[in-house]
Amino acid sequence: MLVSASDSVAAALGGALDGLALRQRVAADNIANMDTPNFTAATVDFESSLRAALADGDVTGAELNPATALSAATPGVNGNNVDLATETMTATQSTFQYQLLTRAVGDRYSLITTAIGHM
Amino acid sequence: MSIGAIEPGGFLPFAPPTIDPVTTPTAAPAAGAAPVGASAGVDFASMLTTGIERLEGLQDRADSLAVQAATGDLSQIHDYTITATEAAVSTQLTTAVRNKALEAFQEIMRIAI
Amino acid sequence: MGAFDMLGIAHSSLTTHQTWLDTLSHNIANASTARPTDQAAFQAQFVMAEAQDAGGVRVSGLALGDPEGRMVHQPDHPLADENGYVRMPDIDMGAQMSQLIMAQRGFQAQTSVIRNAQDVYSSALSIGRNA
Repeated sequence: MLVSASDSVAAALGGALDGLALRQRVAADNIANMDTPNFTAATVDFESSLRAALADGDVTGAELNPATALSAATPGVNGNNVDLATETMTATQSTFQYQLLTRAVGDRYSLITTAIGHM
Repeated sequence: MSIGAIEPGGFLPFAPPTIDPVTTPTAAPAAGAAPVGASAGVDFASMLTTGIERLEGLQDRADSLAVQAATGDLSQIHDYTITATEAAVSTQLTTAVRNKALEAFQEIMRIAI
Repeated sequence: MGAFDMLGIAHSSLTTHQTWLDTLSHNIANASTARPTDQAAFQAQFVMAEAQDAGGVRVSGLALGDPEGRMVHQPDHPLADENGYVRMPDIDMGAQMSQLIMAQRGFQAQTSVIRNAQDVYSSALSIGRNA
């Protein structure tokens, strides 16, 4: 009846948390290099592989590979194509997503704890 | 042996209170009392089963919204948080009812013989 | 993610206002750029913005100002023609400066939208926490 401690939902949430942590790290790296000449910003995409794995019905750790790609934004005068507003938006949004997903993970476990607790 | 119908204090894990324009909304806090209480002959076991099925549905909905949030398809944050809160409160309610029922059963068994 | 549309919309507006600020400072910097009379004057740039269906705004193009400019009599200017005229751009400094203030206010308004959005998301996340 109740959710089991580790099942496909927990694996999906964990994979998404990994992807979001990587995204935040990449955004911090981009912001740190916003004045480096000839630096190309990077982006992280884990949603595609997560959606594909969920559609297949098989969500294991090996399937969820967050893909890091180079951004296609047009570079500025010194070959640097980091857009500060975009990176800040990415960092803000992934922070909130991360909080939402950690809340989701915690809520699922506390359901089990509730059911156990009063025995 | 089946435990006879308990007085219309039956429960429904968070039946969403409906705003009925005719009746006053006083039934909202006692979420389960109004809809179920009418039929006094309801079997407690079936009431419990219905409650658990509803709880399972709530948990499944919360899970699917969590997966939507993970893949970036969630359209409103509060959709997930409200559903998760419903599921949590319903779990607590169901657990409390189960525990009370167990205690009552044990009391009765102690009386026997 | 649909839940965070507010951030994306504010971001699109930030980019548009940034472009607006860039073109305004470009115009102001070149307000005294003289050209010979046989060439077009320096043309001021105007940002054209259009609303997006999905929400937000984007720059749809840059319009250019009047190529005629103003003929100014400056015989000792190295670029002056045989009559002593040079072609100066047709830029109204007052209009450009007031637009600069508007663009700056617009930019600040977007940052307050973003702050608002962060408050909203935090509230939504704390529903039922520690329930």
